[in-house]
Amino acid sequence: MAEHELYEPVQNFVNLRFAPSVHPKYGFQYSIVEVTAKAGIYGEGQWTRPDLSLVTLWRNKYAPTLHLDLYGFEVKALGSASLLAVHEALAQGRLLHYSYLALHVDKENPLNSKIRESCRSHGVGLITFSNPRNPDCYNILESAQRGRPSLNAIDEFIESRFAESTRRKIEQLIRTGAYFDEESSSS
Amino acid sequence: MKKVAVANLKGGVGKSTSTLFLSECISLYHKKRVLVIDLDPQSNSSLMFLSRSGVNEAEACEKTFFHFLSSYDNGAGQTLSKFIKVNASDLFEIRRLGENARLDLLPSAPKMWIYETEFDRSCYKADLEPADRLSAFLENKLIQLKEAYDVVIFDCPPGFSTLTRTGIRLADVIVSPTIPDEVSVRSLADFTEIGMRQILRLEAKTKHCVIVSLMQKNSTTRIMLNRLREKYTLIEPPIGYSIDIIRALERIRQNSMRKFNEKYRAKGATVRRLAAHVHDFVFA
Repeated sequence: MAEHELYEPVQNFVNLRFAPSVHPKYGFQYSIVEVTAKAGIYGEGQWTRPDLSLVTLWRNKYAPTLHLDLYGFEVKALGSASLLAVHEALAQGRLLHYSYLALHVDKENPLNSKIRESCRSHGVGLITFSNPRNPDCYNILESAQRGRPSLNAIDEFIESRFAESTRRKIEQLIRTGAYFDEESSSS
Repeated sequence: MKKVAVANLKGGVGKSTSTLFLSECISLYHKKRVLVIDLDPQSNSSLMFLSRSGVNEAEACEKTFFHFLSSYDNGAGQTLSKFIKVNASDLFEIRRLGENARLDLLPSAPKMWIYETEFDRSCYKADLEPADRLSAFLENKLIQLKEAYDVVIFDCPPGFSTLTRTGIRLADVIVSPTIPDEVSVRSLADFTEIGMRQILRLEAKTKHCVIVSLMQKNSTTRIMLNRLREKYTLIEPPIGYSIDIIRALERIRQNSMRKFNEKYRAKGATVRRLAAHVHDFVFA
């Protein structure tokens, strides 16, 4: 499969397995993943466009504040993974809280151990998958370390890469605090 | 991926209840990854799975079948996984099975009534059959998830609306819950003869079975059960309606969890046996 053909299956994995795995146990989470390979402003620098981006807006049940996290996923097709891809994901990390490299691997194209080492040392997350269409065939080998992008960078990223409807939804949830009162709603 | 439609012309025969226990038992006891798609704008099975606050949250986060359908209007539509609520069941045991079994839900929303009417109008204006269009769209999106789920269960609204016809059209197996009384049995006959054969012209490859909810046992129900046995593939045992079933249908809070035996209590064994037979019928 070509890289662009992998976006949709990886998007399904992020929706069905990855985003739920970062959901607070008792709290609330709104998450949305979009293909951002071609989104963004031209001329704003090299390696600033993760192939997929996930935004999660979440809060714990007994915590008063909402948090926003940005995740980027750099997807590589079979046989196209290299150390350069790690640096690409690392560079994207300056705009994100978490940066992941997602690699399609099989028996003929196994994971190069140097890639895994490099991901670990740079705090880049590493995901491999053998069957892209089966979300249960994905392995999170390395968890990404949390980066500290500036608030302006976060605003810029969301403003320039996510769809207008997503941005409106995020704004609305921030305004309302994303509280769904269980008592009043069950009446 | 097997597709099952829980459908009947008549309301109040236990379609959503059956969807709940069939999906939970098939996931838990047969280690299947199940996706329930609530096609019914009444949202009963969504409420049973998620609780009222869970449905409110799904609506607020725009993760319902209504929002998925709305994306149809915007061109090619969006990936179905975006609208799915994962880990929808409140059974501890299903969560513990991890990737070996799952139960996810595409919740419904009452706004689907409005959407359906408008969708029908636009299709008829263009001289198109709305259920054909909708089922083609949904099937195309389900193909992307065919390796993510072993079974998709459609909880269809009563009647023969576009949403019901869509679920039936896509299904490999149709499960019709019914009640053994004169009216329900006659309605089931109309559903199979007029709906499935004459309107939808379903081919013989679509399998159909009937399951029964018993409100009470008397001579009439015995006669009706025999009539159902003669005419249909009746999967038994019948589920007696009781306070245990009513309790099983209620999820008070979104994060509340319970064990299978706590949920179904005295009805647990019957529900499990019936679901096992339906599972075997679906996968035969």
